[in-house]
Amino acid sequence: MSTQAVLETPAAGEVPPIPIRAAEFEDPVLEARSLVKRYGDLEAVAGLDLSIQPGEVYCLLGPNGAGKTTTIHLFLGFIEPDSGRVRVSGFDVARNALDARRRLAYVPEQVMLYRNLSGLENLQYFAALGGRETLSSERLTDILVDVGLPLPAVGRRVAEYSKGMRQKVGIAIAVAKDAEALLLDEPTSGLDPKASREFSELIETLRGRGVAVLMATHDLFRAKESGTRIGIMRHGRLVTELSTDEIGHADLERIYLDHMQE
Amino acid sequence: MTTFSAAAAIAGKDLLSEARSRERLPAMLLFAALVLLVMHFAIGLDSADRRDLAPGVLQAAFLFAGTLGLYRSFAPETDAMAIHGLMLGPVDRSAIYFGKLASGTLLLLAVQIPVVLLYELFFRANLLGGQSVSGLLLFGAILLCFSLGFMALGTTVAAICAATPVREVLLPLLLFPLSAPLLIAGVSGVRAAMAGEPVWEAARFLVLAAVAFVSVSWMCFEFALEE
Repeated sequence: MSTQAVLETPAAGEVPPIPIRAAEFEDPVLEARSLVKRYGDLEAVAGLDLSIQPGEVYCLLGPNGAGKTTTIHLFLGFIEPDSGRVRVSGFDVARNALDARRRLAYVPEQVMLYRNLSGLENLQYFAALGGRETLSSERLTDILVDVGLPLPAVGRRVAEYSKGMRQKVGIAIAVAKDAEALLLDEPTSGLDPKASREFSELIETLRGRGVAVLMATHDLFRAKESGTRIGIMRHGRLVTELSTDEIGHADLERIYLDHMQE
Repeated sequence: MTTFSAAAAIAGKDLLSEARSRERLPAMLLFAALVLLVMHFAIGLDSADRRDLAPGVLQAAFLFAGTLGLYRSFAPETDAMAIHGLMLGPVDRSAIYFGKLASGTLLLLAVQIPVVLLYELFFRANLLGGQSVSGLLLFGAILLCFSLGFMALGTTVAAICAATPVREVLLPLLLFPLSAPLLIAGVSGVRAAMAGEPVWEAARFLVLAAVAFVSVSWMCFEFALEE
């Protein structure tokens, strides 16, 4: 069944239509078809096909310049593809940008927070921009504590937070926004093993809630631990896809290095 | 979330952040005061041209203070990469523009009030004392429209410059020539107010200029943000 957003034509005097998504529970949350993005002569993404279901954690591996971050930016709508299409929960990112953004959350390597505001104030602000302005301070505090932020830190300025704490606020924004898809770009880079492990547990919790996760990473161990599927990218192409159930850590490293040497 | 409430959230966040950090307002205020002080002595206490030159000094102080504020207008977003968070919110890009415009205008107005009082002190301008209530209101409208028009231009230009490594140079290079109509009308309005003459002409021009600058800058802002 098609995932394309459908617009019904209203009769005279009717309320304007809202996009309707077909077969909401069967379709991929994140979908790329024949996606191409060029920068001059360089093909950063070269005909990428990708489909991520609810409750799936898809890890994109690959060297620097493989096209992982470009792929994420295409899903976020920060850049436009030269050809192909990107959909979020059935909404075309180019045509229904606001509907797509409403369903997305993004946690980059350096989480985007305002240093002079507290974790709670940052969450209030981003939740409001995400259309969840009705959530009370108590509920938002609960969300922050649920993702592992210590209660005394909730009201402290973000400038005093560690990187791991900032990542947790990033995840809390996704939870508060009730995002259907979470895009992560090198989220565990620079985190100590404990914080990295805690981050993986959060991803696991979100996965259990049916959130589709796309994570670009260099961390093979974390990809194997957190991912349900792994895609290896090189020169803008997906060179192989693996199920994490079927491979061990050593296998993943061997397969990855084999592809990098080709 | 409506564009209006999103813009209000963005402006509220900017003002709260400024209240905590005090990165912009004290610097703007101090710089404007220094411009007045330097020009007060540079022109000379007994110069015959003092009253003719004074209105330009006041507007130049506003222009420099406003530019100083604009340098840091998008800094919280670019420093923390939070511009991605803003762009990812399911809000119209117009909300970002109007939120930034509102916070910038309020900050410049907050600078203008004490600077006008200092101007009275340094230049014995008789701006406030010699005016009727309607004259004072019109003078307030001149300040408001100057701030609005300048920040309307400045918000878009600052967004263009924010991503460039030479933004400190580029911002005034682009902004000052574009602000010339506002500067000229502002000087004309202050000169009329100092002479106790009607300030209608200048006020009318500044209202039109502010409306035009807000409209054009708003249309250009989305492209500036994309880049």
